[in-house]
Amino acid sequence: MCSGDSGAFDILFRHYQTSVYRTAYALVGNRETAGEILQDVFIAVWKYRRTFNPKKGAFSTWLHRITVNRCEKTMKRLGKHSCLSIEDLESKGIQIETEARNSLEQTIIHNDEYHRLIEAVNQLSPKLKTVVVLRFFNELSYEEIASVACIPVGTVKSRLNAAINQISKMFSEEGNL
Amino acid sequence: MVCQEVDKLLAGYANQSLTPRETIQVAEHVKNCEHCRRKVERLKSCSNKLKQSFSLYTSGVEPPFNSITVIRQKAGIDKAKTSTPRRHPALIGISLSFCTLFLTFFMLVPFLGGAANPPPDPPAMVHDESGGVYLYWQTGSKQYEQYIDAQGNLLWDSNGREITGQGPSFDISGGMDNAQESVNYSERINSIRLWMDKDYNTREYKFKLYVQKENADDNHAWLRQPTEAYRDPAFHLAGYANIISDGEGGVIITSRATDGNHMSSTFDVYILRIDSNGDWIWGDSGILVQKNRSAPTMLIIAGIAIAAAIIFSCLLWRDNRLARILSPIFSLVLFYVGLRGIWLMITTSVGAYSDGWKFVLDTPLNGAAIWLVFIMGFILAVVWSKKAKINSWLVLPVLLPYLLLAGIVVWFNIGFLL
Repeated sequence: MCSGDSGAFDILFRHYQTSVYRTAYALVGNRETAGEILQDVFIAVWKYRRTFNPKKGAFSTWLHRITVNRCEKTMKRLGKHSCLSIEDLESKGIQIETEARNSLEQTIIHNDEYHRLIEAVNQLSPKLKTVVVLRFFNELSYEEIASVACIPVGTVKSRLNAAINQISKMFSEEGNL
Repeated sequence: MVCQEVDKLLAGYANQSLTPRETIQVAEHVKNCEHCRRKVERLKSCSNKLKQSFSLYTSGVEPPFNSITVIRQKAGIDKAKTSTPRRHPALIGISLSFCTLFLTFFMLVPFLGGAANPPPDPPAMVHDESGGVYLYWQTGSKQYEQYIDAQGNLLWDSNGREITGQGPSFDISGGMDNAQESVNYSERINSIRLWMDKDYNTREYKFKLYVQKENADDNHAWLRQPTEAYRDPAFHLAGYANIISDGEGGVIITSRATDGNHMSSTFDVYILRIDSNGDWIWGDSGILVQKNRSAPTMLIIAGIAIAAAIIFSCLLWRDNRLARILSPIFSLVLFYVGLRGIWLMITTSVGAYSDGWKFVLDTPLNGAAIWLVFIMGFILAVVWSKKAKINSWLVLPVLLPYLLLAGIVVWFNIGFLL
């Protein structure tokens, strides 16, 4: 692709489009904006394809970095309007437990918890939100997050701990975990 | 460690982001502390539920199906594919050869050999016995004569009489037997010295004509100081001057000059007379014998240039093949025409005259027209370079002259300012 092969660009787009789109959606909480970001990201990928250096990191890391940059710019622009919209899960055809189960299956989430967690994530600052999404949605390692967000690993850890503490605190205030 | 110290490390412990030492310390504390153990469980559970929440949140969220089409269009991928450069090697070669020849023979050679035409020779004079004077001059390829009587009346109308091919046998441009030689530095007739010098009061260093009476016993108490022959300070010389005796102790002076009311002169012919008492008897600035105002040639050239450049640009924009071939050549033609005009303006002291090319500059409008021609050529070159659909390096032979000249102008201006 770096040499201008648009066929390779298509393959990469097909492979990564869902991941980029969902990451953007998880960060900005709006399908339309996420669609715009998806376009921006891949236009930037094509435009700056020659600047990508495989020796410096994986393509997915580079792609995530572009995505996060675009999302952070959009979140900054939208301000409070960049909240995650809580769609009715049933409307998506997803059935989840209506009540929390006992301690053995405590990690199974129920509808109410889901709503409260998304609300808690919405309260985070864009920087914390980015780290949380990269860790718990993209499931990147600390090193990968550091590379994507261009911050030291220590900062990633501290931001993540701060975010978890904050979410946990808000979550506990609203109900039992 | 007490709970307060451990508390800030618990999230890291739950996320496994602590150092080994911290992990051991927290693990030991948690083992014995029910409160902290429950908090760790809560944090771990929170992390797990976050994963699930995000998974649920994004499940079923699919990108718009036509994204790739839009992206390809916006990124210019499809456009780049459809507009593969169409190369015409033979035509490009011919164009470039022509450009090279053009640059070499028509642009560089004139500068090496002295591009600007020298100012025309000053008019020649032959005085009669009754205080009048015959005046002969050449404008372009035409010769003219005029007779001015002692009172300063012109025999023929203000532009004289054309005598091309039928005038006196002397060669006006080479000087005349009965006329004085042109004044180069200084000439003295009837104790009146005439010389030309630069006018150091102005930035342009235009030439002025000065006179002074120089007799030792000085019976005439006039011209103690050098005085401008043309008393109007706006006047300046165009080329050399001639001086002859008026037969009555005074002098008659003729030259080409400009009255300063125009950006550059077209070598108007003036004649003035100073009598033995130091009076300017034909007026302070003499008599205007021939007025050389420009024909609107440059304006016509500029009009054609603008129209053609616009048409060429429009055709180029529509990918017209002929325009693509002719534009670089036409652009350089405009460059040459413009440059030649500018060069003539710069290199001659008071203006420019080239009969062959009809570059007659005497008004700001004509000067502006010259620049306009030059700029239109540059605009056309830029449009062509944008739409040429050839290797971008190949546009350099056309754009380079412009860029070089721009560089030279900037360089000289900087030098002048410093």
